[in-house]
Amino acid sequence: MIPITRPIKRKAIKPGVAGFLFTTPWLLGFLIFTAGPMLTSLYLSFTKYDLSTMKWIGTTNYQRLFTEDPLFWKSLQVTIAYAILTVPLGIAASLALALLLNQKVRGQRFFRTVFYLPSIVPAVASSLLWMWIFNSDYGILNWALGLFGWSGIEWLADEKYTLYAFAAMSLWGAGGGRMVIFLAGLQGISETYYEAARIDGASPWQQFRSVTIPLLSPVIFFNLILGVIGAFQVFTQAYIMTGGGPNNATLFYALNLFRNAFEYFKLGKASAMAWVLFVILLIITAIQFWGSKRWVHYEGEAK
Amino acid sequence: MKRIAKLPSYFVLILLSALFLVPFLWTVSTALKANEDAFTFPPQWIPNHAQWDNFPKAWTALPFTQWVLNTLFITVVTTAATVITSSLVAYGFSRFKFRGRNAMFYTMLATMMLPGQVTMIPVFMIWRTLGAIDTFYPLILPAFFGGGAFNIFLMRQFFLTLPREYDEAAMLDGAGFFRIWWKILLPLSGPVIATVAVLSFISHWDEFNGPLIYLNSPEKYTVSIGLRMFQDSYGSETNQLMAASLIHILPTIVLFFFAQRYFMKGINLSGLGGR
Amino acid sequence: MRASRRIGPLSRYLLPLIAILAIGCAEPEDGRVHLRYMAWGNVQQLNLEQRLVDEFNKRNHDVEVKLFKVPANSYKNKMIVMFASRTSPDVVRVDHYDFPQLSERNYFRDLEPFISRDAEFKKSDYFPLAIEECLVDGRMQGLNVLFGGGIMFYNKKLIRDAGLEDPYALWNRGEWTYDKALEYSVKLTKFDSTGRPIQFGINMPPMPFYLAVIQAFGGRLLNPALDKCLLDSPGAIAGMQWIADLRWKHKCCPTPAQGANAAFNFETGKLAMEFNYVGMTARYNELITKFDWDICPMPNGPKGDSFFVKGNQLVMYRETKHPEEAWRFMKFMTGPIAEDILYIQERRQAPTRIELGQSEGFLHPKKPPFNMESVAMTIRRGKTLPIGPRWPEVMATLTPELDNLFAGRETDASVAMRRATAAVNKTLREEPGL
Repeated sequence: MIPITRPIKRKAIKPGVAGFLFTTPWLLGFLIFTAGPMLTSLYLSFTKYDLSTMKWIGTTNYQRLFTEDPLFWKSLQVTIAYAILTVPLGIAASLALALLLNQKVRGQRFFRTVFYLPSIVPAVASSLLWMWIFNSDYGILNWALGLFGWSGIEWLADEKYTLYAFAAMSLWGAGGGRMVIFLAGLQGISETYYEAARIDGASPWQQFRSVTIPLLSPVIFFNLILGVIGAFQVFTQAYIMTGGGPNNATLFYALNLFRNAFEYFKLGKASAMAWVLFVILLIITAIQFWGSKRWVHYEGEAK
Repeated sequence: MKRIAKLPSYFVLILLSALFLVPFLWTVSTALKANEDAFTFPPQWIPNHAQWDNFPKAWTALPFTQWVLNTLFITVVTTAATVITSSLVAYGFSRFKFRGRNAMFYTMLATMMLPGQVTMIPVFMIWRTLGAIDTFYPLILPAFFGGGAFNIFLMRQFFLTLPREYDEAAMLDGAGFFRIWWKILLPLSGPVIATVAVLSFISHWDEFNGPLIYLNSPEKYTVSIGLRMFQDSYGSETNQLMAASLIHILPTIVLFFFAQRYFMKGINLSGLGGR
Repeated sequence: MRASRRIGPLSRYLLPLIAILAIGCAEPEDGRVHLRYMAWGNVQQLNLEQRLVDEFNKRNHDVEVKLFKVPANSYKNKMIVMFASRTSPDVVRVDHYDFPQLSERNYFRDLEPFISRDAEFKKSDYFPLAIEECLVDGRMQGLNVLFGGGIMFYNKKLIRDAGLEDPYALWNRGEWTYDKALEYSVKLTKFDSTGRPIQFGINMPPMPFYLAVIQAFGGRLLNPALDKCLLDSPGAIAGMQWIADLRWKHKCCPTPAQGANAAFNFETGKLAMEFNYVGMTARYNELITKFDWDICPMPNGPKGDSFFVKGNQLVMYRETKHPEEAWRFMKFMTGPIAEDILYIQERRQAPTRIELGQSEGFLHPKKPPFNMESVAMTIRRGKTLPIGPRWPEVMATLTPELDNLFAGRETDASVAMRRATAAVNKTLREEPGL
């Protein structure tokens, strides 16, 4: 497994020490800039801290979040709905896009750049941009829908539609990044697999089912995990575009957390919210890992 | 024959890229309009009088030239540091076995799930204790500590695909570990270096919260702070914001266009499940 | 041997880089006191702040003030990080919305000792309302800047074209009422052949202008102790109903969706009347070239006027190392020279100094708006807003409730206000900071 240890076996610890030394930059950074602050925030989550006084209150923050804070549940619900709406759809759309581009089409560089473009537009600019697109009377979206006979949907002012508006934005903004990752994964699949499948008489759909999907499953899994993490950290768009409204329909978890910390000065409660989020994400990721054993195919795993 | 079979694909691709480009073209169109012409119905794609001077106006309304230089400095240094240190750390994670390695690796992955807002004040206090407020250090130095879990992860995944036989051969020639990393692994890692470099460049080029919190003196500001100054409760200069944003994203577009061939290529993502 | 090889590239590439970084960060030492001042705003406002700072530096050779410019929508975030980490600038401009909340955390220095020592500074030079906003437990913790209040802007051309009389003339006869304003709004709203609105009669920013309207109908948001919501009183309900009816019954005011993205902002010429801050004057003067416009007080209601005032506060950071110099700078920023630039040359807001507020330059300008007596009246007679330490929470609770009424899901203000009152009272009963 690790043949490099063999030639210097007499000083057997050495490669281990070297390996550890190579990772120390990360370890140092983690200890200084992550672990310390994390423990601080964990401590704060058991206090009432309003920036002027700090008082130990045990698990009160957590209890209150779960039992008497409708906005906590509302923001959790908004965020989960958004994740369910955007992650599977986003992955499917990006995968379809990548499959199209993978057919050795001409102008691949151009298309790839076009699809990637939205992910490099600064969030302030894209937020303002989308507010114009979604404008119910003057926006280009309703103008285009109007050509097909649909009339003015109030995308950002009617709480029935705001999440869909945000989902559309996320397809546009994050689709390209995912697509590029898929494309690289597709290009890593050796042509010989497809040839073998064709010799066996597999149709394009069967090739997709039995070659592409299994070999691409680690990439799908990767995008899935990043997608869920990303969905739970949506902030800027809601902060700039809707401020959480209408009627809290876009009160995303991260926005709610931010408000509690920096607008109401409830830093203890906000820290508790951060830890709840952290634990939720850990659990979701663990479930994904557990579930992934059934469908994610790792090459050479048998070894 | 084959080309004809691809016609539907081209049709769909062109349609989709048009869809993706619409918001972008609208940005260009807005950047060329007078502020009061922004709203007309039906939408006006080509402005009556293209106001090309929105671009120089936006650029000179604020000291953007200075801010671009600052942003460029921060971005280039952090990108270089990220590439070097993330590959060093990834080298450690992918080529060596040592006690606690897996625990460290999973801890690292878990940090990706941490919401940044709540560690913000404690981290700020650390930099304050170090006397580094209103300097570039808080924006630059973290990149020297591995450059973030995501980049280390990508590097590690790529290194795992490189055959160990190369290392062994070099080792037999008397090369040290550091030399193997520098002379063997890095030269083979073009695609992942390109990927990490592009991702790191984009994220630092656009970063807003760090500069907002750590920089105080206007002459040290970055472009992303400048962009937000076009927005105010007393009314936004939307056309100028769009013009400045277009200038702002230009370097990233160019960078991506040329680096894309390598982007994400050959990175085996299967290792997320651990090995 | 191996160790040195290991460190090789490090020392060759990284250390020089770190050295370069270190050079860029030294502070100049010139014997002057360096003060830091932080403010937010758009490009024009920040350039103006810089001009005032330059004026001060020109006159004070022993002090150099440096302006920290911060984008408006991230200002509070940055300010809090700086206060909480004790790295705050010496002088900070604070929006009155945040002033009581931050003051409660002891970030500001009490200004009374400076005032009592300083023969130049007399509270009686200032409008009482400008002083009142800065008081915490009866002691001044800030100096008012960018003072002003709510006013009505109107498009003279649209009103003339509709054959209607100038609202200011009506005001002067005591006939500018909410009934009259509604009548005007309906007449000034136009639709195209497809039913799409092309011109609206009236609009207003939500807060605190809703409060100004309910004030004229005899309602209030909170009791004087700021611990109880009064929105379910008949006056408040009547005022809110008036606003809701503008949108849903008479359709003469843009709904939130219609008004999004500044589509019917006053400067577009597609809005006949607007309630807004006096401070919009500078922007309108710059942007409006195609029609003539002016200002008028907001209408009178059945239970009185709609006058209210609101400013920003200049505060001194509690732990500043240079309090005397900071005080000198704050005094300059609210003194005659700065106020002349801010309120007479640039017309950003209304002066805080009585002398300037009564001056020819202020009351009889050469560019619109000309009816400056309206502003003078507002800052003399207006009410201060019920802003306490929990204002941000109250607003966050209230906004979704008001969404129900103003986004059209609920048309009966009495139902919506009863719910809103219950929600706000629940928020106020919670322990602060928990």
